[in-house]
Amino acid sequence: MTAAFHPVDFVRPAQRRRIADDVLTGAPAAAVAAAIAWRLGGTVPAVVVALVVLAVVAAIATQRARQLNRGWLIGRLDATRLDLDDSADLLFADDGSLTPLARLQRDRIERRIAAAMPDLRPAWSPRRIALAWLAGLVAVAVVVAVPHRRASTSLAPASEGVTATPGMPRLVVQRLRIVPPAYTGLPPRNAASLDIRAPQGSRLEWTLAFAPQPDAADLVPADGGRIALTRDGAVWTARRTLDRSLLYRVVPRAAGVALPRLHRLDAIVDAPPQVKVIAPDRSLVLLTPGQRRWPLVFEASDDYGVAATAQLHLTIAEGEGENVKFREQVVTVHGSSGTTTRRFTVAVDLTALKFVAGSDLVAQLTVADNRNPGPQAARSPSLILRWPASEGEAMGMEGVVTRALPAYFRSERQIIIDAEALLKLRPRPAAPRFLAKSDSIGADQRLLRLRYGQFLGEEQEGKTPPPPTADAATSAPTADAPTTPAPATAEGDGKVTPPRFGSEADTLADYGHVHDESEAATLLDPGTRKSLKGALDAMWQAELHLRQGDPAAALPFAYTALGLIKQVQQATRLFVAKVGPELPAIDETRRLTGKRDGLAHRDLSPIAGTAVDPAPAAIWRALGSPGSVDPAQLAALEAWLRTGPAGVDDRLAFAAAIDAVRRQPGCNDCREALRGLLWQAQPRPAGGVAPRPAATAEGRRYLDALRMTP
Amino acid sequence: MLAAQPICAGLLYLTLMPSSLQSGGTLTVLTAHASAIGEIVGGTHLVALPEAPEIAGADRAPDLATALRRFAPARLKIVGDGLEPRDIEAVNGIPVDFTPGKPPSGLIRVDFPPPVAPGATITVGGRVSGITHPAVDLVDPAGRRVDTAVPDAAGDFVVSGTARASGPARFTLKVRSGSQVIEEAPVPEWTSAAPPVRLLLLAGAPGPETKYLRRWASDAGMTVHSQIATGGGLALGDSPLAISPSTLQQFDIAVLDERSWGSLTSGERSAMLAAVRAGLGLLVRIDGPLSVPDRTALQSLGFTVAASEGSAPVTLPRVDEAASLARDGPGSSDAPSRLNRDAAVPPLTRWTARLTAPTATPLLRDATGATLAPWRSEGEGRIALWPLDDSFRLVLAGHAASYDDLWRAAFAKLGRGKPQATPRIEQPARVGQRVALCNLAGVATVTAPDGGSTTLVDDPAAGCAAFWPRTTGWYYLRQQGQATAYPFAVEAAGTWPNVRARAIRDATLRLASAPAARLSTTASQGFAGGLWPWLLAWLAATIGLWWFERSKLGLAQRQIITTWTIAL
Repeated sequence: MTAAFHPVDFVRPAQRRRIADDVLTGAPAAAVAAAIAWRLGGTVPAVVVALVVLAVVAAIATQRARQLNRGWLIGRLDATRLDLDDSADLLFADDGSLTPLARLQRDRIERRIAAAMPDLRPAWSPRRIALAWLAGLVAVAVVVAVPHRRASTSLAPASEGVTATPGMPRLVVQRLRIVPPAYTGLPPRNAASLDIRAPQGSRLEWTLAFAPQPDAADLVPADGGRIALTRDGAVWTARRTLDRSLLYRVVPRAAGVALPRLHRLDAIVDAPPQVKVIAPDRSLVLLTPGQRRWPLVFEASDDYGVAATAQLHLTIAEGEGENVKFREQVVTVHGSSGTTTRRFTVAVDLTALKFVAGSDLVAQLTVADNRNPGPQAARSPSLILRWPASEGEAMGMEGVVTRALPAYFRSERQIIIDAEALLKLRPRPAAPRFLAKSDSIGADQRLLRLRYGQFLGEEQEGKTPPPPTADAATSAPTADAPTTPAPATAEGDGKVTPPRFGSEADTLADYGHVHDESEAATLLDPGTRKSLKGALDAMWQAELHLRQGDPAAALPFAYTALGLIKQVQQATRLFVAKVGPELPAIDETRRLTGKRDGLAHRDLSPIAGTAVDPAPAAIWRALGSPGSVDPAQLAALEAWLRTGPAGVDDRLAFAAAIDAVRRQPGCNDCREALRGLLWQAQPRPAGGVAPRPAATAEGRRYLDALRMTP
Repeated sequence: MLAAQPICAGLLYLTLMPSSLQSGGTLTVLTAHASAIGEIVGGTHLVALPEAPEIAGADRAPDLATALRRFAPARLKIVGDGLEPRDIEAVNGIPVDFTPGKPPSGLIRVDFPPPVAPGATITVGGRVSGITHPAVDLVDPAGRRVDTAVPDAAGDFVVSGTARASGPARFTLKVRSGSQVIEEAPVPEWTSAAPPVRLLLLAGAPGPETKYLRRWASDAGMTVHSQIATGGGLALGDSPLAISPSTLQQFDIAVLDERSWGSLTSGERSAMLAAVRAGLGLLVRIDGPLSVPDRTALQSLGFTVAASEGSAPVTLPRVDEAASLARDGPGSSDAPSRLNRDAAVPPLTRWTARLTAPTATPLLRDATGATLAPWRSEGEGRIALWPLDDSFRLVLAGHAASYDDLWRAAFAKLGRGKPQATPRIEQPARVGQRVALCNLAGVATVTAPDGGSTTLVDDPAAGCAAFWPRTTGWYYLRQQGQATAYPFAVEAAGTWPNVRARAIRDATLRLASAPAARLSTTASQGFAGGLWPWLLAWLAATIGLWWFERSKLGLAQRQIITTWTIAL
């Protein structure tokens, strides 16, 4: 037998009541969440959020309702019904487990229960529910009533400088929303007026309202073109990207509408980043002995943001004098945190770079900003790490004195040494060998002469023979070969080594017709030039005799050439001729002879004064006197502005001021504004002198008396 | 009837110019800000002038003269700021007691600049008082600061700016205490086109100084006649000119160097000096060491030239460098001023010969204030010696504006004077206040900014006319038979308030300290309440006469009179 009463019969209603109570208490939270979602996202999110929150509330309520179980029921029954004799647990106990006494007691209790079924549902909690709903309603009201920051629909009143004419469309309220480019990190904002300054590349959104409504309206830039406004209900909108500074006006399209004033859009151009060197404190650093790393610290700043990484260009110059080789390496450096200012710290590992003695290491950091598109880059000053010079070499003089002639001029002495060595070869070698050796020295001499010739701006003459051909190789050189002077001793022997003229590498010099830069010749002062010319002449003669196998005859000329070259080497400075007056030479034969033929008074050429455009001065006067301004004068002023005069920094301001005067001829402030700009732009006239007042009759008498008095 | 005529006339006289009935006593006169004084006591009557605030018990009077006629006081006690210019004349010798209040603080005097030539320097002086750490800025019409001066112990200051093209301009004086602006006052300025200067340029040898001077003068639109001797009687330049008084009459200023002065014949020199006496300006440059004959030649110009060799560097006074861009203008497109803004001013060279003359005045001073170039007047003309040798360096170093200032000032000082019967126009002029225009010739009219024209009535005794402007702006004074118009600016009534307060206070104080000259004469006559009896008496006498004339008795008398008159 089962019990007459099942716990569910009592618990279920209680649980339902508990759930209903809890849901009623939690529902305002869902309303508040929905309101917030509606403000942020719209209707659909609001519904979703409301359902989710309700579900959560319901889940909590169900969980709480589960606490109302059998144990709770028994306790509750015992507490509420004293006539159950604290035996409510018998009601739901299993039959089998009960003693007869307990069964008897249960029957009694069952009868009592059946006589009056207890209502065990928990009571409503009206206070809690009312409080929750009150708080919820207040929260919803606050959420809904808080002014919308972004989409505030309020438009600012416009100031167009036109008088209201009934029936004539006129801009009454406006809003200009500026959305700066994302990379600037600036928040979008609504401008207070139609004249704005904003970063270049900002998106501009106009929302304008006219009264009465025109048929159409445009934004008209002052320099031509137009942007049509599109109607959106009661307001008109337009969009544009701010790519440059310009002046524009808002013109409703209607017959006879007065032209409103110009507004100004100023595009703030993104500045390139600036790089400062923090360490080292000087640009040229000498390597300290044992140094393995070179610490560098740069600081980069930008108006909107510096890119997080930068490129460090390392250039290693190895070698000395003519033989310098360069190696380049690029290292990526990560900057410190920060947006507009970042610090780039790097320690250059010298061993990894194979930085060896006598080398220079040049470091330069390239930093970019975060402009999008097209980041702008800036370079730091070059920092040089130098291997200390060996002792005895004057560091300071390098770069101050430029050596006039490169090192290969030393080889004239080599030619002399070779020639003398050849002469000293006793017993004298066989004539052909002697001639060949002498000729080889002569070829060196020729090479040297040609190089000196380059310094004097001479043409590269003396072509090498045509490329060797099969017949040329076999044919014996004739005694009167035009290119090679007939060697006096060349007889019998059919094999003469063709002279090795020129350098094999210099193909252009071999087969081309190269004019050397004659301007290089002007770098030599007349004395050096004369010495060089003499040296060249001597080299010609030396070469001639060497080629003829007569080194002894060549030696004096070689010595002369060497001496002259030594003179040139002593003239160690480059001489750049100044461009100056070329005065005619004084005719010494005529001096002090008293002859005056051809001498006469000479007129000086008249001086053409600097022309000054009269337009600004004329309009300056016209604006200063009452009465309207001649439109032709304003047009002349605009023409003058287009010539880009020196004193005009802000042509847009000028254009706006001219437009204001043209639109409102009677506006005194507009005139004063234009006059202020004109004052800045006008050059100051030179040399105007107001005559002093002359002495009056009395003054004259006084001055005369003053003169008579000793 | 005849006997009655003098009685009638006498009564009429007494009616129109009544003798004092209520003379004596002290009249307390309330003027502007009277309540601020505090003690308004004493005096038999209390009169409030129109400027005075509303004070109980005071009679309103339209001006002081009316009040004086009504009360005929023996003394005046002035309470408040002081008497307006309108009332100053009316006091007419009555002893005045005036206890001034706190003196006005701020800008209390402005020396307005006279009309200047285009591009010339405008100098504005003035005085400030009652300001701690005062400084005065001059701001140009574009709103840029062109000069700053720190007033001296007395509060006097001088600031300068530069003019541009001809026409009206409006500068502003900013009086500061530290960095706080206390007062801003407009300074109207007029730039009028100047006639071109006629320059005679003689040089003993070609040189850069002559070259640049010629260039500058040509650019400035001057008429230049230059002759540069090249030796052997030959010269470069314009056609040779005989130095004679008649030819020199065609020039305003002659610039010579000591070699060309020395090479003139004695006849030419005396012709030159005669021309100077007639008004020519003469400037002799010294551009080398002076030999004994050179010194003798220069001494004939009235200067003592001490023997001295060698040259010395010279530093010219510096103007405010921060404001140099605003002062010098933008320059030309070839040489924009901003490029040269930071260029160093090169040191110039002077020849160290000491130049003195008993009546000499400095024409040019160096940075320390020592005289570089002296000038003296000779008859109507002026002679100057100029030891500066290389002012052209200023142009080469990018300071063409300084060069221009240097020579422009010299030419303005020395150039030939022009007879000018310039009218004197009282400054400052404000709306609704009397402007005195003096030194007028012939019929003068004033044209207002709105185009309205007013013919002035000249007071021959004073040589002045008065004008009451109604609107602000530039007015033009034109005189019959003269082409030139003289502009003057009129500002709003409340402009320069402390200047006005100071002027009123000073004028009243002068009145108070002046001896009472005409105490017991007509000035003491009053008529308060005493007009009517005299009028009635005169009326009664006249009516009696009339009746007598009409009556039979009178008719008989009249015939006798008529025959007597005819017989006469």
